[in-house]
Amino acid sequence: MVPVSYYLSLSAILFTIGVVGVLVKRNPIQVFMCIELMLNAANLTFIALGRYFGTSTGEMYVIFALAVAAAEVSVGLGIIVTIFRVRQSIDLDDSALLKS
Amino acid sequence: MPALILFWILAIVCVGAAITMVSSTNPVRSALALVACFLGLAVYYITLSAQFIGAVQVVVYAGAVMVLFLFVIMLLNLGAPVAKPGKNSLQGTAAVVLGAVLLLALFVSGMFFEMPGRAASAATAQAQGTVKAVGLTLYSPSLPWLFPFEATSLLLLVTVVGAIVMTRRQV
Amino acid sequence: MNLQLAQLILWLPLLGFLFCSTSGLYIKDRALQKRLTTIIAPGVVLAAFAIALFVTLQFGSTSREIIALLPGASIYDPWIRFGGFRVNFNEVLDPLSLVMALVVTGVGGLIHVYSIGYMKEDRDYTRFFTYFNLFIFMMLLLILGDNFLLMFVGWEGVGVCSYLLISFWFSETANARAGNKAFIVNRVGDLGFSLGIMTIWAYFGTVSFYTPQHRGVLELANHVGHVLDVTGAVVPASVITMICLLLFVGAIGKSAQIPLFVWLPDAMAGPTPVSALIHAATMVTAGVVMLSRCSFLFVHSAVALQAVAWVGLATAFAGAAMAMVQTDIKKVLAYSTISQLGYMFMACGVGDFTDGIFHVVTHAFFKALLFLGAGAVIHSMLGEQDIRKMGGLKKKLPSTWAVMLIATYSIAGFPLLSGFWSKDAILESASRSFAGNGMLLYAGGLITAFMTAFYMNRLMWKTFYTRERFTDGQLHAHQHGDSDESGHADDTHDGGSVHTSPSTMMWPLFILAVLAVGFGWFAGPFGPGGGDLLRKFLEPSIAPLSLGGLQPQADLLSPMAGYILSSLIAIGGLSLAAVLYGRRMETGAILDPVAAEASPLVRLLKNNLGFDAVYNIIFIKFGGLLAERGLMRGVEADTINAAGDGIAKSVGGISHLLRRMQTGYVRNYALVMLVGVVTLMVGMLVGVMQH
Repeated sequence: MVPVSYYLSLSAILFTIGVVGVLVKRNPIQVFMCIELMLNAANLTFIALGRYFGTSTGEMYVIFALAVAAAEVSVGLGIIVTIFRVRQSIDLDDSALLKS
Repeated sequence: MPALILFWILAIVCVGAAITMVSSTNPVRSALALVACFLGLAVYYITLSAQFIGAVQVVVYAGAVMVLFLFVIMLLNLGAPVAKPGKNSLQGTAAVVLGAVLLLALFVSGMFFEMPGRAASAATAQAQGTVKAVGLTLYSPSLPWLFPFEATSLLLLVTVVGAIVMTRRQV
Repeated sequence: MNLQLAQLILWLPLLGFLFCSTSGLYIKDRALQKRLTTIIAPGVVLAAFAIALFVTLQFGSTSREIIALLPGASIYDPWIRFGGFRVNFNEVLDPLSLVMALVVTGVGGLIHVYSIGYMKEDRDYTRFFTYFNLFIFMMLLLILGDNFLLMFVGWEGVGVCSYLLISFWFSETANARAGNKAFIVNRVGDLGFSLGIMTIWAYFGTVSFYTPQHRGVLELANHVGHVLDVTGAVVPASVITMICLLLFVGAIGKSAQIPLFVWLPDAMAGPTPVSALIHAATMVTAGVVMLSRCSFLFVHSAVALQAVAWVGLATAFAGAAMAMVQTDIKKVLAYSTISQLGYMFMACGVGDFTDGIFHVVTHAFFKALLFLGAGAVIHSMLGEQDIRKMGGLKKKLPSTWAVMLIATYSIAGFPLLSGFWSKDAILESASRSFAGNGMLLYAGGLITAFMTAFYMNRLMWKTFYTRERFTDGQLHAHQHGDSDESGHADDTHDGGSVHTSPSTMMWPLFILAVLAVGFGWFAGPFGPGGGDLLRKFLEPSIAPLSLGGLQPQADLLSPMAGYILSSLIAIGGLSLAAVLYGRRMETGAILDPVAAEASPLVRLLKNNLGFDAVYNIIFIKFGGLLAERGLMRGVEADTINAAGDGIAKSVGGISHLLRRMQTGYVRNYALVMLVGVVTLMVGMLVGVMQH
C-alpha cells in the first residue's frame, strides 16, 4: 500500500513543473499544455485523497475538472487559431498589446 | 511492495515526461511527452481504484484533448519559435527560483497537515471506482452532484458555440 | 365652526399659481389663456379673502381665547423628521394670523384686480400673475405656519417672489440689478433669522409656535418672568435675548430697517402694482408680523425690545428725512414706507405689538392707494417719474388726485383718518415706554410725523398743483373718453390717466380709499363695540408686557391732549409744505427749498445716508479685493490649485516609473501572480509555525 503522502508529493512536483512551464514558455500551445499538467496534478490529489477517505467526492470533482478542462482547451485553442489568423504569429512575446 | 515499485516507476515516467514537455522547444514533442504523462496518471488512477476515471483520463485527456492540441499545432504549422536570446532571461531564472520556493512551501505545509483517521479499506475503495458506482453517485437525487452535472452539459454547449463563433472566418 | 375650510385660505392661491404657471403647456390659445388668467388669478385670492372673512367672523363670534389649530392632513404629517428633529405641517389660526391673512388676501386681491388693467398690454401677463399668486401663497404660509420653519419657508418664498417681481422687466440691467440687491441684502437678515431658529431649536427642543398642545415655543414662554423648554427646564434670560436679537436681525432685513433698508428704494424698479403689494402693503410688514408672533419671547427681554424701539425710531426718522429730498415719485413713497415701518417697529419695541399690527393694516390701505395712484400718474406721464417735471395734474387726473389726497392725508395723520388713529396709538404707547425714555421716543415720533406730513404734501403739491412743468406731448392723459390704449406701442402702459381707466382699475382704489378713511375709526378707540376692536381681537395672540415683568409708565399727556398735539403736528406739516411749495411753484421757480443739490446734507440723504457707499467700499471693493487677491490668488491658485497640481505631478512621476513594470508580456504578469501566491503561502506557513 502506497502512503497517500507519496501521491501528494508527486502531485506537488508535477504542479510546480506546470507552473514553471507556464512562466517560461513562449509558445501559447505549450503554455496550455502546462496548464493541463497543473490541472492533472490537482486531479491526482483528488483521487488519492478520495481513495484515502473512502469517499467518491474526489472522483466527482475530477469529473467536473475534466469537463471544464475540455471546455477550456477548445475555447483556448480557438482563441489561438484566431490570433494566428490575425497576426500570423502566436509567439506570446509578439502579443504585447497590453502595453500599447 | 509491488505497488510501491509501480509507484516509483510511474513517478519517474510522469515527472520525466513533464520535464521533457516543459523543456522541449518543439510543440509536437511536448504534446507527445504530455500524452505519456497523462497515461502514467491514468495508471495511477486505476491503482487508486478509480477505474472509471482512469478510463476517462485515457479517452478524454490522452485522446481527445491531446489530439486537439496536435491538430492545432499541425494546422498552424508551428515549428520551434525563433530563439530570442538574452530577452527575458530574468523571467526564466525568477520562474525557476519561485517554483522551487513554491515546491518547498507545499512540502512544508504538508508536514503540518495531519491526516485524520485511517485509510479506508481496499474493498470499500474498490467498490467506489466502478462505472456503476460512479453513475449511481453522480445521478443520485439525494446527492448534490446531479444539478452541477446537468449544468456542465450547458457549459459544454456554450463552449462548442463559442469555439465555432471564434474560429469562423470573418465575412 | 368648520375650521377645515380655513385650510383653503392657504391652498387656493397655490392652485392659482399652479394654473398660471402651467397653463401655457396645455392652452395654446394665448387669448384664452389670458382670459382664464384674468378670472382665476384674482379669483383665487378674493375667494381666499372671502373664506378668511367668514372664518374670522365665526372666530369672533365664538370664544376668541381659542387658538385654533389645523392639524395637517396625514400626508404631510410629520413634515420633517430628522433624528430628534420633528416638525409638523400645521397651520395656526389665531387672531393675529387671521388679521394678517385678511390684509394680505384683501389688499392683495384688490391689487390683483387693479393689475388686470395695469398689465393688460404686457406680453408677460400670465407670468406676472403667476408670481403674484405665488407671492400671496408664500405670504400666507409665513402668516399661517405654526412653526418657525414654515414661517421661514414663507419668509424665503416672499423673498424669491420679490426678486422675481422687482426684476420682472429683466431685459433692463438696472431692474435685474435691483432684484439682485434686494435678494442679497435680504440674505443678511435671513441669516440672522435662521440662526435664531437654530438657537430656538437648541434651547427649546421645538420650533413650533403652539403644537403639539401647549408644548410650542409660545406656550412655553407664556409664564410670568421665565421661559421653559420642552423638558421643563428654565431657559436662561441671556439666551432669550440672543434669540430675540437674532430674530430681530431677520426682521430688519425683510422690513427694510437701518442698516439693511438700502434694497427697498431700488425695489421700485418693478411694475407699480408690485411696489404697492410687496414693497408697501404686505411683504415688508413680515418683520412686524414676526415680532408680534414672537411677542411672547420679546417681552422677556427688555434689551431686545429696546433695540427694536431705537432701531425703529432711527429708521422712522431717517426714512422721513430721506423722503423729503427725493425727486422720484416712487422713491418718495419707498422712503415713506421705510419710515412707516420704523413706526411699527417702535410700537413693537415698547411692547405695544397690537398697535404695530394696527399700523400695518392702515398702512397697507393708504400706501397701496398711494402707489396705485402714483402708478396712474407715472403712466399718464409716459413713464416720467421725476416730480420736478410734473405739476398741475389735478385738472388732468381728478380721480387720481382725489384718492391720492385721501391717502396723503391719512398717512400724514390728518385727524380722524385711519393713519391718525394708528400713528397716535403708537405715539401714545411710545410715550409710556417701560424703560422710562418715553419722552425721547415720543418727541422723535412727533418730529417724524411732522416730516411725514411735510414730504407727503410736498409730493402732492409738486405733482398735482401749481403750473405744469411739462409740454403737452409728454402727457398721456386722454381727452377723448374711450379712445385710450389703441395704437400705443408702449406695452407697459396702463391706459393712461385714471379717468379713462377700466373700472377694474378704479374700484380697488375706491375701496382702498374708503378703508384709508374709515378703518382707523372702526378699529380705533372710538369705534363700534365699545372701541379698540382690533386690540381686543388680537389679545390672545399678543403677550402683555407684564409677562416679562415690565410695566408701562404713566401717560405723559392725557389722550385728548395727545390727539390734539398730533393733529396740530400733522396739519402743521401739511401747511408748511403747502406754503413753501405753493408760493414757490406759483412764481415758477423750480428750485426746491429742501432738495437743493448743493447742500452736502441733501446729497447724503439722497445717497441713502451713505450706506450704499459704505457697503460698496466694504463688500464690493474690499470684499472683491479679498476675493481676488486673497482667495482667488492666495487660496485658490497658490494653495488649492497648487496642491492639486502637486498631487497630479507626483502621481504622474510615480506612474512614469511604474510604467516600466507594465511590459505587456503575459508571462511577466503571470510571474507577478506567482510571486503573490508564494508570498501568501509563505506568510501562512510562518503564521502556522508561530503557533
